[in-house]
Amino acid sequence: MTAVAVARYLLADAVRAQRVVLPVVLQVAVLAVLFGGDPGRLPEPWGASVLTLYPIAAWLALTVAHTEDPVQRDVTVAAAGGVGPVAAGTLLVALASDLGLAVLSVVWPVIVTPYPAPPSIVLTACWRISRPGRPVRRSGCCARGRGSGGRGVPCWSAPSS
Amino acid sequence: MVRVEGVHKRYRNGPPVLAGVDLALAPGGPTVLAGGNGSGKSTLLRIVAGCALPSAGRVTGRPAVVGYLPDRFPAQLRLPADAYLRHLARIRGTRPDPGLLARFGFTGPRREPMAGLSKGNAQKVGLAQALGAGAGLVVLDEPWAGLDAAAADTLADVLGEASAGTTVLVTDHTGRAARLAGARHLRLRDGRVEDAPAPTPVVPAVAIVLRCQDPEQVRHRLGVPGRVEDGRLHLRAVPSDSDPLLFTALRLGCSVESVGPA
Repeated sequence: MTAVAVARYLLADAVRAQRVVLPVVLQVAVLAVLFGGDPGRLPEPWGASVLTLYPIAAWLALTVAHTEDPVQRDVTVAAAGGVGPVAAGTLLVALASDLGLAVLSVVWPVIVTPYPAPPSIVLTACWRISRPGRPVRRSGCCARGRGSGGRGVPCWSAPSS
Repeated sequence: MVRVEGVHKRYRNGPPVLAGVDLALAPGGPTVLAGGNGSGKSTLLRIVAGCALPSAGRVTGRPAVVGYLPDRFPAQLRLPADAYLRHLARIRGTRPDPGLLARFGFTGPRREPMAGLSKGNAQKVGLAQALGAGAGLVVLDEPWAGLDAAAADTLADVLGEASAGTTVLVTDHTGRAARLAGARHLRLRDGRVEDAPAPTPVVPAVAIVLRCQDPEQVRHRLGVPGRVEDGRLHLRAVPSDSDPLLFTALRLGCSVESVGPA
């Protein structure tokens, strides 16, 4: 309960800090550039946006965790009765903000690209994002020229075979 | 009762700041900790409040709700005063005291970011979060810093009211803590806590020089300590007594030569 109260306080503090805006703006810019033209059929384009999602999400989490003034952090720790609830609250806020960034990165191409995106593909993408180190595997659309319609749209994922 | 048992603290690559502090803190009267600059007062207060860990030793019996005021309450906060107090009280699981901020004479905006507040007003917000949450242990580091005279008197009153049920630990450089009723005075020296005599309150005085026909007789009539030099009567009085004293002296036929700070 204390951790939730700490999280609410940190969130209220973080949304007033301008430095959390920068990572969000950067990811939005990346998404806008990647999906501005015709990126091709999903899930391939996600493989490109996820490359920036990981570092920017880490940046956002660090920014959220360090928004509070160090002396202010002392007051919060004393009020919360220890470092534990404050660390848990910080983690909650960092997770929530990263989740927002991930949802934005998944949903953006679904909305802006004209290709159908069945729920199964979206769920697969979410599952893959939660497991770093395993990029979204190519479906073969680039190699076969399907989806992109052979209009010279770059294929973002590395050839696997 | 909050017990500090064998607390040592040493910062990285530095000399030990605290070298075995044993202390028992109980409600009933504020504990005033004195000590020179850099003697480790703030470090000990942070450990007692629970926002720093000792290198060795432990603190037991700390109540569930603790109020802590750092020695420099940050003035560059983004939340408004009211929202900040509400959040801090929610973290403690209590409700904020709605009238405490006004009682301290807070004059800043309550719904705008605290970054715009003056040092004194920010200090009052810090005091309100520490004292207004019904804490069982209140730790205040230099609480009188930046307060005006009225707010300083209010703080002494609030501490007096709270001391019956609250354990209070406070440091002070302004001399205000010397006037706290029922205070226990300690001194931190060489990393250890020792009992200290209660400091004598600093009473401002006014120096008055009178020219009289018979200075000795006037001195006896006035009934205040003074000395006669070169036929002039030199007196010292507290400011509140100086006007009646001057009035009486003038009625006795003296003329006032000078009045100034002692």
